[in-house]
Amino acid sequence: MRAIRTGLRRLRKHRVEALSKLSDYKGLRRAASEIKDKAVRNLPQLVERFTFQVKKQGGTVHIASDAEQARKTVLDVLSLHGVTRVVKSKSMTSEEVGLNEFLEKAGVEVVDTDLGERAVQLSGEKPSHIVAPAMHLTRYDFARLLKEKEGVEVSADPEQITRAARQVLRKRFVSAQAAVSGANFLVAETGSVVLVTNEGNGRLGPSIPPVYIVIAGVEKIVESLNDAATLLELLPRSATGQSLTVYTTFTNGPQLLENGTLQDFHVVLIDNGRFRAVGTLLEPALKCIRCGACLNTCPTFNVVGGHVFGDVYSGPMGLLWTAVTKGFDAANEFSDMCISCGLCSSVCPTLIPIAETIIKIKSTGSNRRGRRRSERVLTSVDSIEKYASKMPWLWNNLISSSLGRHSLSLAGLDPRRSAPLVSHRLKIEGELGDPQSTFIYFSDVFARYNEPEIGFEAQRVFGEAGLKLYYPEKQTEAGMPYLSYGMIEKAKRAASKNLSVLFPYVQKGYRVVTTEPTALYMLREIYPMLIEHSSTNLLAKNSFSAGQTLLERVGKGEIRLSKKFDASKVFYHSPCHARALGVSPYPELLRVAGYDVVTSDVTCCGIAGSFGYKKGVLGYGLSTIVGEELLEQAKSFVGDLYSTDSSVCGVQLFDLLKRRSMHPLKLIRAEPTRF
Amino acid sequence: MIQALLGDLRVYDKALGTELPSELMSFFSGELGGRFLNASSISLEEIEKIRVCLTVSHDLVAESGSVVLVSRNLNERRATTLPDRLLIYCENFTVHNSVRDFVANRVGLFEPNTTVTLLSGPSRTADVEQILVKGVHGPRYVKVFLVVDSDHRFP
Repeated sequence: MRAIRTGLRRLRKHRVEALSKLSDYKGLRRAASEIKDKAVRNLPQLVERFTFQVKKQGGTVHIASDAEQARKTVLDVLSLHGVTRVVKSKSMTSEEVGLNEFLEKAGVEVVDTDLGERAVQLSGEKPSHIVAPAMHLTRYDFARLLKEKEGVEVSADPEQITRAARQVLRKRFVSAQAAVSGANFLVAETGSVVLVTNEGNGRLGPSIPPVYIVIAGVEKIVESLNDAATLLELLPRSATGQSLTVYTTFTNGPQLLENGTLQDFHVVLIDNGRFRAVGTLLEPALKCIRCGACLNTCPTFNVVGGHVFGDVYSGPMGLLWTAVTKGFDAANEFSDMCISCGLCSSVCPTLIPIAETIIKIKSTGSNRRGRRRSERVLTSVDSIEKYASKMPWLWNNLISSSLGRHSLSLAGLDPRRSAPLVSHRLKIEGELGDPQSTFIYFSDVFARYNEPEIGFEAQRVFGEAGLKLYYPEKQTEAGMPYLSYGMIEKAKRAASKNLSVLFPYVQKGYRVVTTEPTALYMLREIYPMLIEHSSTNLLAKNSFSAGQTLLERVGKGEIRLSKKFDASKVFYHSPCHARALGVSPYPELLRVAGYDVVTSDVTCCGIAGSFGYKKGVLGYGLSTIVGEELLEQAKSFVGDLYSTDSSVCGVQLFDLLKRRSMHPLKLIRAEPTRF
Repeated sequence: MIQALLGDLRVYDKALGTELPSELMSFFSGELGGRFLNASSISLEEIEKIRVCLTVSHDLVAESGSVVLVSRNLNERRATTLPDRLLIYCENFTVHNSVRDFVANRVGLFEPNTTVTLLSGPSRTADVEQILVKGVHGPRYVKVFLVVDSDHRFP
């Protein structure tokens, strides 16, 4: 597991470095998104043009409606030539249609030539990552496989292993009777097949035999060479951090053999659910260029890897693609693992709204509707705490007692998780002032029922800064747990209620502030998706983090900040929703106030919203494992103050570290710079 | 420059040449005798035995450090991938800023039944524990010889 985490972290780092070298990453992303949007909308025409171009050059194009037809088509071509030895270069599509097993059964030997794929093939496993398939294997595994399966003795040294593999595979290349490869892009304009590899197997393999078959999903077709070039500027950077892979090959139709005849060139275009996805909620998935950035950034994937979080396709895009190729029920087998942090959407080079689409997938399909007890409880927190907070003393005693913990356990929640204690409901008195100096506070559940001090401290800091915080009583929970469990209708209802409460103020020119990053995420990203209306858009545009608002005024020189505590250092954990939004004002805020700030360097604290409350391995267990990284970093911090703005991250920090963390607003004082 | 290339080639028993202009081809054949073979006209088995290949390129891409190789038949592709050492000679060349620029400027290069490859270094993999190793299926050593004279203009 650590190997996977280290590997993914490296890929993330390389991606960031490579993208920072681009002069206009945002513009490039938009261009790429438009190219793929256009291609998806014109798929049938592109297929026609591509087919025509390939035929013109002497090749053949087949369209396979499903996996079975794809396999059969490939076998037919091979049988026509009496082929029994095939070399293959990496193709996730071939995994999708189960090509290898099918061919082997028909007596055709298939040798995967990509080093990682070959190792995975030899060990009888499936790839654990779409870009780095053998990420889960160690050098000892490689050496062992070479010895056991190829009869080659080699020390467990990467150089030696590669050298040995080169020799072993070279023999296969030159004796192959046919080559099969995937395609990163297909170009309609010229009938070109674009392959992006580092090892050279994609270029070498198809150069040797007289038969070459390309299998690729129909959505790989783009219109022009220029389109392909634009996508090529993003794909390698996003995937491995390279500006270009070593071999970027444009194969324009069938190639000439040494005897002057043309190689028998076939392209098998695979449908398998892609055409059906057009015009549905899954359509954005067709824009995927298979870079793997979403896998690398996904907190859950970082912990469990692709064999657990995925099927043929893994990670966030894997959820979408399993839905496309196998249906919603298949995708929902592992959709639980998505914690809706939104990080995947924020890194996708073609702007696929991955997280949002996963939410929609969760709400479809029939196998999720036998709602588990824990989910029922976790989506009723607001209702339960509404009543609990009328008698906090009673509730807190009950929930902390052994009867209480037993009840939590019966409800499917893990008793090791600290019990949710309540206070009297948050109430902030005061008149509504003018829009320039009064801010409408959206608290969400935690600051409303569990820790109203957050609300009071926010009111204090704003007051010190000469501003006002106004708290409309009738607001309700933001509704994130509903989304985590696919209850879109309930989420819509919460959104509707909050919209009716907050929108009138926004209309009058007031801005909404939050102290809970998930609440801001809901307001900005989710509400406009749930309720497509100008009002949700306006609300989204006028919603801010309390920290942002204060920092703005510091920047303008209107207010000054100072430390509230006599400590010099703060350990701050940045919540995933804050990062997904790109709104992380608190480290700077704390620094401006005079603290030395050490920030955590993890993708997720582990609690994953309400996920980490669930009993057992797929809940508390997993969240504690994910949290190990954060715990290590927190433990090595030399200081007294721990801080995070997310309520649930705070719970996780406490459960891991046994130390209380504080909302950043609790650590600062403000004052206006002039009276 | 040609002498430097000759030096590199002389080390080997045999050398392959692909896509070279005929004068260069004749020159090397003359200097190296029967040890310099035209890749287009020999068999796969012969190519397998040779450890060095010399080819030309007329297009370079600055952003990615790539050399563009055009293969008009499969032997040319084999010859530039199988041997351990690849030498690329560039005398009349254009430097394009980015991949997009290259494609936009050289659409004509993408002719039917040819392969256009952007080569950005020696063949490599990081499949074993993410440790970079060079020379997997393609050449381990790639050397580019750029001939730049004083009045060479970059577009």
